[in-house]
Amino acid sequence: METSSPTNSPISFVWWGDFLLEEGQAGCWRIGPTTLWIYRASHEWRLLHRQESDPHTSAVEVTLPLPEDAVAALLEFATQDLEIKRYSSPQTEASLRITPALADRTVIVRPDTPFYVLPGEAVTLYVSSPLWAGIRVGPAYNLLCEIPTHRQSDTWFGPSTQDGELCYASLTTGRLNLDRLPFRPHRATTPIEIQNRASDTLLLERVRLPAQHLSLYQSASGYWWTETVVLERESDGELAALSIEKAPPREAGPTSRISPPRISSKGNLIVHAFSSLFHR
Amino acid sequence: MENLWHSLETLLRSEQALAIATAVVKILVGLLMARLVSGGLVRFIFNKADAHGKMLLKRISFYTVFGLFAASALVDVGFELSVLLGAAGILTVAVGFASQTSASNLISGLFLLGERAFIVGDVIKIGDTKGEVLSIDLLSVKLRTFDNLMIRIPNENLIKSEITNLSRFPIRRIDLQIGVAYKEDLERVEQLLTDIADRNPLCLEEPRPLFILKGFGDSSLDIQFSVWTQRTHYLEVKTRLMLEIKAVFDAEGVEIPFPHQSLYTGSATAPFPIRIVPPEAAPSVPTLPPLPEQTGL
Repeated sequence: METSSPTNSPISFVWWGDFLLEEGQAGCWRIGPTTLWIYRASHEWRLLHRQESDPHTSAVEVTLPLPEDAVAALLEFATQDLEIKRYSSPQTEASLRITPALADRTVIVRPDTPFYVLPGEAVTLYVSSPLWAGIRVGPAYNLLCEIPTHRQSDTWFGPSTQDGELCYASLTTGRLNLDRLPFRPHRATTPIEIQNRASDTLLLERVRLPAQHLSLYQSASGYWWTETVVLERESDGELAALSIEKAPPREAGPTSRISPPRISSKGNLIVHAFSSLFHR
Repeated sequence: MENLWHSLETLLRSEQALAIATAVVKILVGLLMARLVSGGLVRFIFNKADAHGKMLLKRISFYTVFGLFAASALVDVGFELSVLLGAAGILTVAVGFASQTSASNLISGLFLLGERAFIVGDVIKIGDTKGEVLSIDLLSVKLRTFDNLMIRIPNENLIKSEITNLSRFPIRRIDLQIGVAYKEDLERVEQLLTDIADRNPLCLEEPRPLFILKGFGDSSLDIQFSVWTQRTHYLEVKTRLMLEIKAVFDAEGVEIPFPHQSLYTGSATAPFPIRIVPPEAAPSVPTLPPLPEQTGL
């Protein structure tokens, strides 16, 4: 885990790393559509957060520590539209670490317009998924909780309504080139390489992104990346072999690995990668 | 007195007494062994079976082991097993006639256990009763309702009635019945409802929400709006959606009508003429004449 140095001033685009919070102080992290407040008392940590309705907000701002009147207002009016969690501790310590991570479930990415891959062709799509912020405290940096920077809608992926997997749903514009990739400090980009080796055209209705099997990398310019996911479709049908490359994508340039995958994967997975197959 | 003592001593020393004592010991040991074996088997498959399978295994092993010991004890006392089985057949017929309901429950219980329509821990609905299955016993199924009452349902009733298992599949569909006024634009209503479902992260994006125009009702256009969610979030999402639909319809001016009727005068379609009279022009309410004084009869 690579961490930034502790800081006590507003920082642009760096919302993760190690921070120091004195007793009675609070900090505010605005990470895209999520705003997170962390307050440290002598025997408890208090976490408050709020999600904005616009998922495309990409502003990042860290205010540490918050002015005293803002802390008082936060504690007094906290119950209005914020989610609050309290964590008790015999004696809290100043060290606080915020770690970025990928989603804890598979993300189903759906192109916003019908997208076809011709037979024998290979295409690389760049899709992004929101990061999660893990809050860790104490000398051992125990995980208090993880908060998504954008709570995606639940969705079901499987052959029927009886058999399948609960996933997150994401809509993508299906970018094919990197030039137009916007800088979003709370989202990670995954290149998905689709190889259509079958004899018919593949309609890409939805793509399965195994977020919990991917590592998170950050490039020198601050962009978040994951390994490339390769989907190989050998014969006509919905099945594809899904594999994850070992290294970060070349497009990312020099990167450093920030967090390992939540679940390590072994070998290729033959999956219903393109469509959920069920009909209403 | 001496005679009585002597005859008791003779009885205790006889082979018959020894056999009875052996039989009693065998039955006691049988009970103990059956309990140990059934308990041991359940512990052995601790991680390999669910609560339902464990219960089934425990019952079968207990009755098998105990049955063997009991049969052996009866042979010791002097019963012949073949005669005993013959007698058991006759006894079964007699007992069957005498306790038809219990026997029916017993057999229904075995079928229920084998069919696995529900297992311990499932939430099921039978008629108007809805609750979590606490145990599937030989005579009855015990349920815990959501207002924390214990309900015992005889197995015989269960085998004959329709059972809905609410926790078999991981996702469920919420069907909301909504009525809107005839003047409303249904495409706009559909868009508003879909937006409400899309805004709630617990509503599944796929399968997509369904918008069905069910018919032209007496007072409203009847719509069914169906949304999928995880089974565990069913009630929460249903309530949240209904609250939000009411709020959005109020804000957007979509009318949710209540039943109303138009009165017509008869053959013509023209309605009753209604004239609205301003309050100052309205005639004063006529006062009733005073009641005649009572004469004290």
